Amino acid sequence: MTWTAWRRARSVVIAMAVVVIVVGAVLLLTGFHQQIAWSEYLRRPCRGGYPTGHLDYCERVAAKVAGASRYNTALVLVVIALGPLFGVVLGVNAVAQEIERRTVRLAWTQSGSRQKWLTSSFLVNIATLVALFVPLCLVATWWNRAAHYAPRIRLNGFPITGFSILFMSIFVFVLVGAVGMFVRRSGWTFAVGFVVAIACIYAVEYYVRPDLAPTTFVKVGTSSVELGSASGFYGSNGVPPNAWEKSNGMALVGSKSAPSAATMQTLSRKMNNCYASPLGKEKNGDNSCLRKIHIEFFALYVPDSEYWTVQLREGSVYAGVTLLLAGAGFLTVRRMLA
Amino acid sequence: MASNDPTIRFRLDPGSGVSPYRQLVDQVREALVAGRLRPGDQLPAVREVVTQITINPNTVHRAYRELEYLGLTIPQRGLGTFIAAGAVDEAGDDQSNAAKRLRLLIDQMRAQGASDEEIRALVSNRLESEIDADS
Amino acid sequence: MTESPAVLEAVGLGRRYRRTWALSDCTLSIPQGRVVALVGPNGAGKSTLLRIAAGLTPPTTGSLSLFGTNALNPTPSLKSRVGFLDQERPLYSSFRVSEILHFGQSSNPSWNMTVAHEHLDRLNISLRSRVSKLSGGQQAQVALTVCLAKEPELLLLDEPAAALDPVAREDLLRLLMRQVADSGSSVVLSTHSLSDVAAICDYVVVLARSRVVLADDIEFVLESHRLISSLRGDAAVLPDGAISVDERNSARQTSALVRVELPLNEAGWKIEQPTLEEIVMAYLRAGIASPFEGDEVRFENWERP
Repeated sequence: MTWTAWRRARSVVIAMAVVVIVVGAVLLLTGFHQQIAWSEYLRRPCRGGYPTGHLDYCERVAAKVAGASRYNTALVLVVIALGPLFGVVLGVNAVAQEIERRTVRLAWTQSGSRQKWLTSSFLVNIATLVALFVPLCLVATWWNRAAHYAPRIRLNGFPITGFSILFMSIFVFVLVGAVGMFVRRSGWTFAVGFVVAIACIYAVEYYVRPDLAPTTFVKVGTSSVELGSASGFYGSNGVPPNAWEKSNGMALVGSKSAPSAATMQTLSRKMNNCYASPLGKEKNGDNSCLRKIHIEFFALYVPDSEYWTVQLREGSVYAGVTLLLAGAGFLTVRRMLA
Repeated sequence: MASNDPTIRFRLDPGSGVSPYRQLVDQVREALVAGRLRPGDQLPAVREVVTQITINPNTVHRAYRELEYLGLTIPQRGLGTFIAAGAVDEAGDDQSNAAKRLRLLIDQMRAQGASDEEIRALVSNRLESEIDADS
Repeated sequence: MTESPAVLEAVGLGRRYRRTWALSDCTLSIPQGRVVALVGPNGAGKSTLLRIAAGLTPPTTGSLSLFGTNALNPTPSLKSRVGFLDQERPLYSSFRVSEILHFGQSSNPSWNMTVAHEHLDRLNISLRSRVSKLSGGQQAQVALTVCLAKEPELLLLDEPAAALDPVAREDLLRLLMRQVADSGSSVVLSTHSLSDVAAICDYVVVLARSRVVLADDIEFVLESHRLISSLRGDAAVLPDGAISVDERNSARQTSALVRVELPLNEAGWKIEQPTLEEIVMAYLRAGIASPFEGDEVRFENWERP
């Protein structure tokens, strides 16, 4: 049964491998290209800026960086989309297509049990996804750093780094496999599966991950601008470079955590009143008001050091849901009509 | 294992109204009378017959058992089914056997009080209904 | 004659899809070693019965056992004794024939690759061909070979001869009979055209409108039914011992196909031997399971032999 599951997926997997190789090559090429451009921009004399006396030169160098990175958004989209795409394709191939073409009637009247059929199918396809995406994820993670695309902990950096794509693809595969048992047609399963998969990923991205990420609360005395590490990303508002700033605002002096929304509103009102008052209209009135009402600015961020924690937690969420779906699949397959 | 040249090639006539096993038995008897089969000849194995014509192997088994019962063949375990020594006489005898049996029947019916006309009518009726069944 | 358990035994088997009963109240006991013709119009329930027997569809009511073992939720060892060929003869279309055989071998504990190669060789089907490039008849042969090579004791074939040209059909039936000759397996094959398979079957099960209307050895069916007709125009009472299956009355003649329970008193009746097709037709027309019982049946899409 393992052999059959592999043989059925073989031609699709070969096509996927080709895609992975091509995309990987593109990532490598553009990554190196950008790495070179950035290193020139970050070292002397420019140091990531436009110091006087080197304006023309640094503008040219910066333009080179911009030029090298103009395909980044599209490329990142393509790479991330491969995750759910491969998951859907394999999921449809494994379940919906067998049901639609009635080959389940061939498979289930041989000697093995239906559960065995489902297990081999799942294991073979998941192993394939691991084999395809582990190398791609490693290359993409490297690329993110080389191209200075985004801090990896941030929303735009997280999906392209680490093993996010792998978790997503395995989850989508099992999801589409389960959907296929009910929808029983390849075309519809593809459509429904794709929509549901994107919805889930979106939900994880915007609603689950923020809650998973351990945050740090920091108070900012004044706005400061620091040049980031070799990543080229600036810190701001007291938030270190490479971190994911989740929120910022006003808090009472001495508080240890972000204030509630109600408190923020109250403070905001008080500040506005102060600005309108004579004190606020003085020179340096802003700071005076801050001191009068005992307000400080704060920032809530997830530091880069928590990256692997978040990867692990999100991976576990995906793995957990995947196992639940697989379990549901096992219970369903036994009672299914062929 | 039958030789390359089978001793008899069976044919099935689906429209004849005669059951397949009967057809096989009759074809063996005809072959015996015509001399195409002789004592010692081996009949094709059931498997061979099933390759020649589309027929249920059970039917072939039945036909072969009937031939044994009639004394026309002898099975030899492990080797196959062979035409028996006195088979030709048996098959040929059937023609004269039929005449003997008919005479016996007519005598019996006369003994029960049937007239010649009644006997004739009975035979006609019987033949007629068989003709109808055939058509 | 049957010391061994029936190869297929169904009691009150029924299957409902939403509100229609595809099969109802099906009770059968098929002895071992038979080649069974499962006959009936489209929609009569033949495929449903076969799929239930193969373990693909659970029944709504009733029970079914194969070789004396409960066959609902069949175990792997039971499944290895049963070969099933679906009406659509599904195969993995991108596979080569050799890969289909490899699939069969890896999915079944007992697999006779020699037999498989022999069959395909005799039919001139190359092991290297892709399934999608084979003709319909060749695909049917490959699918049947997969069933046969696992050397099952029972073969369940759903319309194996359908959509095949006469030559391909003969090849397929002979292939099947060779297997039966070699291994003594039982065969149940469904068909909507009895004449296609009449030459090889010795047991008949007739389904009409989801019910079993006749199930018996063909020889017994032939011996126990007669076509009787009377030249008297009035609605003649049937002779004692004759139970009407299907009657036709016209102004000048009464005729009926009857089941004979006692030797018939022939006075005033012409008695003839009906063919198997005539008997099956009569049962289908009448739709009665046994005399004095059952609903009126209208049959649609019945293809005359």
